[in-house]
Amino acid sequence: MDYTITTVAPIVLLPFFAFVINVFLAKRVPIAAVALSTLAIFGSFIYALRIFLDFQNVYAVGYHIHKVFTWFDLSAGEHLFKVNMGIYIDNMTATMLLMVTAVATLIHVFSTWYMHDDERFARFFVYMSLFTSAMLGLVLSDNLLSVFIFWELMGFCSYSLIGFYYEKEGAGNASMKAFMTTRVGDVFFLMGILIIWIIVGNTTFVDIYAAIGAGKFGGVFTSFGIGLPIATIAALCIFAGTMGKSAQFPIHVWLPDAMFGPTPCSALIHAATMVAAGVYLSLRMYPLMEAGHILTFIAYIGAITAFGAATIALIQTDIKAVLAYSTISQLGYMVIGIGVGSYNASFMHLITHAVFKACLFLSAGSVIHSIHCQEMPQMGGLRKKLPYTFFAMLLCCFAIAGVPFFSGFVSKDRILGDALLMAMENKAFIPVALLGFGGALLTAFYMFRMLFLTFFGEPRDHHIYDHAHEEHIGWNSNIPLLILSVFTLGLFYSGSFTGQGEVNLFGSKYEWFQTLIHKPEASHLEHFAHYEKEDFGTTDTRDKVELPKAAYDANHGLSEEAAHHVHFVHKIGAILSIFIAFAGIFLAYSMYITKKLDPNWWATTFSGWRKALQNKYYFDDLYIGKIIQKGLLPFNNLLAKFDSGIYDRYVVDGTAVLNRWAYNISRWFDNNVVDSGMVDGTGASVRLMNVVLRTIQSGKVQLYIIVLVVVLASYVLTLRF
Amino acid sequence: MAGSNLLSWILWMPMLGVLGVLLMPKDKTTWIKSWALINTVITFALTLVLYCKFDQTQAGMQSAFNVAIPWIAQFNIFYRLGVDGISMPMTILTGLLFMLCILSSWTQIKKSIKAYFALLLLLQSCVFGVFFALDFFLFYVYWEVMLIPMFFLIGVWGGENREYAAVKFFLYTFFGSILMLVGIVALYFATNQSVDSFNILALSGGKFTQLNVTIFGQAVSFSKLFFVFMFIGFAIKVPVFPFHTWLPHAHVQAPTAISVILAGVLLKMGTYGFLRIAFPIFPDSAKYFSTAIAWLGLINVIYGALCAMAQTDVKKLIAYSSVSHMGFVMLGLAAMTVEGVNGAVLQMFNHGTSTAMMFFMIGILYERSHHRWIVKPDGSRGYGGLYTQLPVYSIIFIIGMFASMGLPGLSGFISEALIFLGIYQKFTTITVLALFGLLIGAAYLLWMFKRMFFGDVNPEVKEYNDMTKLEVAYMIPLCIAVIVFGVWPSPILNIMKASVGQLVSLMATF
Repeated sequence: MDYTITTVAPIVLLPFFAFVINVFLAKRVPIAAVALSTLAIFGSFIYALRIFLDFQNVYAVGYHIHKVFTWFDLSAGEHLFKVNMGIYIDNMTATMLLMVTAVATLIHVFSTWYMHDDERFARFFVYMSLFTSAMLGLVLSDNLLSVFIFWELMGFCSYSLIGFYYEKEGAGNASMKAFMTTRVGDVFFLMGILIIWIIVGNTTFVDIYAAIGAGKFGGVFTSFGIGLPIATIAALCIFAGTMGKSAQFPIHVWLPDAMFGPTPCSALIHAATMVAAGVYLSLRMYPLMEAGHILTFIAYIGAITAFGAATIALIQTDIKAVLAYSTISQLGYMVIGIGVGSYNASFMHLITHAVFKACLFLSAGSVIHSIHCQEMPQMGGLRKKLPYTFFAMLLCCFAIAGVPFFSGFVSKDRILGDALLMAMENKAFIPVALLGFGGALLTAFYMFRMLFLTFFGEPRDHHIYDHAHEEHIGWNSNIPLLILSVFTLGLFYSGSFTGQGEVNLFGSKYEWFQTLIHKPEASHLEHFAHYEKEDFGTTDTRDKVELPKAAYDANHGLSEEAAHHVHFVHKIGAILSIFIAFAGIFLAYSMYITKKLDPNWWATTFSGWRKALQNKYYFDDLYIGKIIQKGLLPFNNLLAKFDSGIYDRYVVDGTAVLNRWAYNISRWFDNNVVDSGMVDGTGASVRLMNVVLRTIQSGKVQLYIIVLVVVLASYVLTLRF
Repeated sequence: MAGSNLLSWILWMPMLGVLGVLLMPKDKTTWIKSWALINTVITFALTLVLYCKFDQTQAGMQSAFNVAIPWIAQFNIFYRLGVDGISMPMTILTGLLFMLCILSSWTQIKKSIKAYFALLLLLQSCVFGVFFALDFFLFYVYWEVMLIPMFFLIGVWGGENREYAAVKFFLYTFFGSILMLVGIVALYFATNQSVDSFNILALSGGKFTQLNVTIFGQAVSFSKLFFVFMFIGFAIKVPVFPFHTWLPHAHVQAPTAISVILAGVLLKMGTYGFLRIAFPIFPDSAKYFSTAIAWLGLINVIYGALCAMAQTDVKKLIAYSSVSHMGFVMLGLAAMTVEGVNGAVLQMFNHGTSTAMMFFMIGILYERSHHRWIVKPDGSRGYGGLYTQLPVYSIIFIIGMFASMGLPGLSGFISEALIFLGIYQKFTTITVLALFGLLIGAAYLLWMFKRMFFGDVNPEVKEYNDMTKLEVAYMIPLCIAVIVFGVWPSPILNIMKASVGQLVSLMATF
């Protein structure tokens, strides 16, 4: 397949044009706008599928497409400065493109059902189209600057969609909080881009890799008189962007509030794609994270997030809140994956999580839409009313809990296995592994708690139960759910698409994911300098080049003995996580189905802990209550008062008082000395001028200016050249 | 129309408009308005012609358009005009904004229509004069004469406290002008009253690096002393902290169109002064003081943003946001790198369009509400629920707000990114601190937006009508500018880059 502007650009441009047209169409022909958005993203899906199949067909690790064009050029004379934009497609991009377009298409279809009775039906799709085009643009980007541009555009869409129900007071707060919190990360991200830009000369990924390989990041970053290794600072800044967008501790606070938006938007933006973009960024910049020696820090942030968010999810009663905290927790697992060097598994978890979490949100959406209620204590027994939703959610819960043969198991187990491996090598990683496994237990528990509370047992609120509109559920709500739930099976990720599928829990030679996606190894970074870039519009000659087929390497390039050790640890990890998953499910089962364990007993016994959980560990209280309301706002008011009340009023306007004195003195001088003492006529003319000046204005300041002119002129006259 | 006279045509076209307005009877208001509109449309078209004829490869003044006619020959004062890549974007901005201001004033101005439009056109001519003048004396004349229409436009058509604001504006700017005048006189003597004594281009290039003057018995570097004089003169216009306090008063009290002109064009005259006069004439001192300028720019960014956050008057909030955004321009100038200065000039243009949008939008809202409180002094909501009540208004407001915030894809981002890239190469600590300006910048705008637009509809707001066709019509060009230059900045960057490159090269030699 040749990669030209007509085969790649439509992926981004179709949703973008749909957005532009829908801006004008949405008000007039809402249904056309909806259809246009959905068809556009489906078109993108077809294009992405073509690219994905081409990459599967070539099946080579080093296969990549890199095309650039000049965005703008400031070169003048000896100054050279040019900003390039471009697309970079490798196996990772191709996979990501397929995931984003597929999930987005299904969510669009689902939204046609979920939003159809909303008065702003079409407007929702306007934002969704803009969002998907931004997300796809981010995935295709070959450089950090364009990543940042699309990143912020997604932030804007997220802001608009969280504030979609703008009549509600809380929506305004939630959307502002989301935008501002992620912007904290973005500011650092921009700083990181600046550092990299100056060192590398541009922000293209492959050039950054090559620069790291060439040791250009060995300098010192001096700020506030403190010098720090520049690679560490740059890596921390980029990772701060990830922390903001992927809702990592301690700036995770926005994601639960983001649930104010319509559920399909939560599914797409706050579960499957935008929040995962943060992890995607850190994966792309993995060599920098390695060069900056911050992997331990990353692993800790991930572990704290994964475990902490899982604990909060334990006591949530709002079905979307459970999912929100579970998203934070799962993103934490991806970040652990980055931190423990489990590049491939981290990315795989990104993909698998996107699929099952989107499905979970859509299932929650169909529940919410059917019963018009989000509180789980009022649900119960819904599996008879909503069988398809129940089926989809069950599979997804298996996946997220880490039940074997499901996607979540395949990816999460690898991350945990690598964490365990790191913990055995390096004591510093022991807490990471412990928190990771602990979080897995909690995950299995709270997800099944949610499932049991929603779909099992007796209906707790018969009014709600009886009014569940099962008859309103249409094909466009169930089909996306069922398609997504099928893809929670692990074999799609650990098998092969090319027909030789051989399903094996612990890796097989036909495992396309692990075979094709490799982290840029630190020792091989310099060869990225030889990656050629093509201009847009030139014909692709790559088809003629025969690339060696990637082969599955069971030992991952390690020696036989080392590999044996790795496999052994991974097997322990796998057994441990299977055990943990079932333990969690069993706990939930005995608490909510057989009622052998009483949740109230736990609630009263650990009431202090529970209070902390209910207050989400007091982060909102700290950030909004303390820092903003007690710190920033009073300080601002003080500053504004100083500015207008003191500085302006006394210092600036105070010169008018000085002027009045000068005026009075000079009038006295004028009247008594000049006028009476000297020639009458001269004095009269000066006085006349005074009168004239006085009558033009309130008589306060004119003379001051004249005095000023005289003084300044005398300065000039004292100058000698 | 001969190419060489194009600048004079642009400069005198609004004067022709003034003449026409003055000749018209006072009660034929539609005639006056239409005449003013046609006049500004022609002027804007002329600036576009100038843009099309602009030679992007020429670094200095465009030789095709230079004008030099002796004016006051005994003092070597010339009527000398020219345009280069730095003044070109400002010229287009001036042409565009005045045209839109006429449209915006169409229904908003109700008293003394004849005088208002005459003064507005006079102001336009003076602004063009400042951007075209290459003779220092001519520059000064336009710089000063401009204060007169501004004084009356604020003082007569302004808000409840207009006299105070007008006097303050006048005096403050006048104070700065006098410092500049002293500099002009000093330069006149320093060059021995030669034929090029007032020629800005001939004075440029660092001719005064060795010169010392004795003042009160102390030997002082001529260049440093008068750089400071000029700096204060221009800094008041920008305004740079601590000379910024006239701005909130003038902005709040001025009628909508004048706020737009003030924020959109007049503030840029200050930074334009640095680029055209202070930096090229005293490059050594500019370099010497660049750290101080950068710190002042930083204070502008942070202080302006923090003050903006505390405001309850929406117009005052936007006024302080201008202080903050002009701080970015100062940062870019202080960087003196090709990215920084290009970014600064681009930011001058982009801030002109985005802040003009904000002031127009607030003016449109004021027409309906007759107050500007986000939170009224008694603590109740001033607005609330505008999103529900005024959908079209809200969408345009969002575009303006996010452009002002520097959202990528809209114009502010590219200029801010370039400025940061430029400043980072010189001042790391300042860059780190200034980045937080972006954070606060988003905070005050979003907080304002939340309080005004979200939530249930305030009973007062229920009576507002959405934007009229006329209002939409004059917002559309700005929306287009903000979006197009956010995606495709090359049309502006290409014309400025040669001139900016030349300036940066000059600065680099000191």
